[in-house]
Amino acid sequence: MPENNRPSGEDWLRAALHEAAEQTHPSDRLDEIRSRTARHGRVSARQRRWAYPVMASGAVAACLLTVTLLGPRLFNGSDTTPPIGAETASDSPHGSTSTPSQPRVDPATPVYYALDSGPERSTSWAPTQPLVREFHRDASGDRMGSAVQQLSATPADPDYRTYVPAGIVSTAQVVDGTLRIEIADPDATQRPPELSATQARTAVLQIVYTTRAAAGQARLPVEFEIDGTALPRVLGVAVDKAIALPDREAMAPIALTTPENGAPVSDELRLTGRGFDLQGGWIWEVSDDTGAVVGSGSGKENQSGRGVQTFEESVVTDRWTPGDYLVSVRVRDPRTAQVLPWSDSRQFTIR
Amino acid sequence: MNRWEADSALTQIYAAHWTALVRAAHFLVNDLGLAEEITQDAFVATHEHWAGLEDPAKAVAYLRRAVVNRARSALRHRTVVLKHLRRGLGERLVDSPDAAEDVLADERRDIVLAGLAQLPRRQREVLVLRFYLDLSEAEIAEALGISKGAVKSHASRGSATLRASLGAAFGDPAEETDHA
Repeated sequence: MPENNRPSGEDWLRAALHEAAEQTHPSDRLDEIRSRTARHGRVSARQRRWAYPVMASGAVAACLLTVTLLGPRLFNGSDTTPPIGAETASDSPHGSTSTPSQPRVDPATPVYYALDSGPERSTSWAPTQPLVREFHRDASGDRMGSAVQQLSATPADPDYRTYVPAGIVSTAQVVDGTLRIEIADPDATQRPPELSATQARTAVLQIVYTTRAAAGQARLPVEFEIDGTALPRVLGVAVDKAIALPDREAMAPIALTTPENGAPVSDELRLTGRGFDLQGGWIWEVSDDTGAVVGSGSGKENQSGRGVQTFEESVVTDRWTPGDYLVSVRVRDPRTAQVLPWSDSRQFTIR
Repeated sequence: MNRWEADSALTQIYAAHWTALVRAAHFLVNDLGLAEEITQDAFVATHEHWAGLEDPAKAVAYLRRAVVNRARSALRHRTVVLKHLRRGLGERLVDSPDAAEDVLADERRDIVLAGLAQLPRRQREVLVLRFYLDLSEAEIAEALGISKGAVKSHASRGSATLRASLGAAFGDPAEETDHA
């Protein structure tokens, strides 16, 4: 009977579309979206009035996005605490006509660091330390300059670190469709003694990924130069090998986007992030301030991915007492089912 | 209006919805690169119009509407894509250079894409929103700017056509029963 078959027919269509959709693997474009929203944040008169005032020191005010501090309250209608480094719109030196209730839009720059929570990783090129991404905010208007400066700064996440020597990059700009990275010191073609070969390779990857992200184009041709002359090696590393390394080998197998470090949590911990090969399963674990594991679980990702995948999981926290906790995520190798040794973690506070 | 941060919110929305929205757009335009562009543009537009969103909880609905509208616009202006869409069932539609790994699964996806492509635009939009994004009739009506009755009508006609198109390749149990 057609009437009897209709519900199962709808379920069948739903299953067919979902199965088909899982064969489509979108690439990650968050960096490009960030770049474009940062650009219109700077040039739009409407949004310029939201811009942070230039800090009194004149220095770049690079502040981490407080994604989770704001996130849970964004959707329930309650007010929010201004993000770190934020000034109220009414303090704007631009003669703002906005009210304090209006949102501000600031350039957010992704900076790539090394994930320091696991061993070096073999790649089709040579061992490297996996890369992770941290968003920084600046009010300078010089997105690329800010990104280059942040490359050598200490990341906010204690699991991340940088191997890029301070001052190695003087400028980076897109000229005729090529990202030209000017190296400041001729000696920087050689690997400094304080860096291992793996760390030097990772540093070059950090520079390539961060400057491409700041330019808003993940696949830009890259050239390292000094006084206009192309450099085949930087920090002792063959730069063409670094540029050719696929994302899945350069990036950490799993990384958290939220929560942000130190985020306050009420009754639900929302985990979001991205990774590769998540169809093998990913695992979360929460430990208290004594290090004791108080909760764990696994994420279910049905995507059979060749590219980067995103994940999302909500963890109910009402069984845990108020205090400080650490959540970490790991991923299983889909071929061997072994848990990979790299984890990303965040501290959070239950109030 | 409460105070909230467009960048932070959009990052969360991206993590939760980027993949599904690109896949939905892929169903609508049958071109993964174009689907990514459309969805990226929709995110940027949502960010740009953040101040005008009276309720930030509605940002995802705004984003969905932006994706559907941009997909419609892209199809209207890209005759090449339309020509591509109107190819018949059974023709392999390779839209990405890395689409060769799981041939069987990819072929089934391409059959779904081709089946959707044969439908009138409205029916295709309703089916994608209903059966892939799992929206209610009211949400679909709001997203497409049509009545709930029209949603029902498009869904009914589109479902019948698509099931007939896919039945042979997917073994639709309902179709087998109908023919029994």
